[in-house]
Amino acid sequence: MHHRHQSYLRPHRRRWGLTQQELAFLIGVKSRTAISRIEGLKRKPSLNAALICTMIFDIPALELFPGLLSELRQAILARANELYDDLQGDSSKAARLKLDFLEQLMERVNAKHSASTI
Amino acid sequence: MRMLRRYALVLSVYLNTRGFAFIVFEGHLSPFDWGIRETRGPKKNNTCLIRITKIFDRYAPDALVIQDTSDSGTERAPRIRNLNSSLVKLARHRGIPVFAYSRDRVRRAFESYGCPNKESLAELIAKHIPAFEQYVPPPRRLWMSEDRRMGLFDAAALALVFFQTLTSQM
Repeated sequence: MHHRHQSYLRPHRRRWGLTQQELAFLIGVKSRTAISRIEGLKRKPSLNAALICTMIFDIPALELFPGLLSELRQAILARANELYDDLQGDSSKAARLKLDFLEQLMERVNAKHSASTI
Repeated sequence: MRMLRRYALVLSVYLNTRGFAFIVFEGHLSPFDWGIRETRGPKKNNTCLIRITKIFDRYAPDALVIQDTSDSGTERAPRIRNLNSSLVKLARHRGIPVFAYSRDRVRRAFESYGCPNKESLAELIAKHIPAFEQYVPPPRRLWMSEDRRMGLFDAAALALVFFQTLTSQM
């Protein structure tokens, strides 16, 4: 799936003829300003808002907020790399288990990242 | 044209007497943003150009699709022809390729789908692009002027001709 934009909330909202005010009501926020800011990439959606949006439009978060997901992936990769480096040199069984897990995690995150940008 | 990617961002603009309608497509049949902008007053062209420039700034499209209003294209009012050439200049200044199709070219492209008029063309487009279903205007009577929403379908038709041409050249 190719994503050029950071957020696809606006086209999905407009596809169903919903106003920002109506979507704000469905999400449970007071004003439409929050929606406007999320659509204009001035604010990241809260966890609640993101989950509710995926439920409202029946679309996975990756397709609705690809920019946010991509940002999270980068952050996970950076932190996983850091932890991986910190664990190097530790020969304990627990450390080896963690290193294996981190390798799998990085592989998984990288694979999903390349699949989402093809 | 072959340089354009499958998911290129294509801005289609249709100018009319009231202002303009635009659609930003991200690939075939996938509209990302759309709108109908009406302007009034003596500086209609200036206002339209400012608004279209804002759309250019926001989306940085890979291609611009407009109506061909040259001598060999569709005959339109001098104001619209002037605005169209300003659009071409704006796009060229930003290095955006411009594709223009005449009314006859659009009509020919949709002939095989059995669309004798704009009304049926609007219905056909709405069938393929569900986001536009809500904008299909009611049937036009003899005494009625054209519905403002029809501009959106004119813009969509231009973009679809562009995508059709792109597909046939691949």
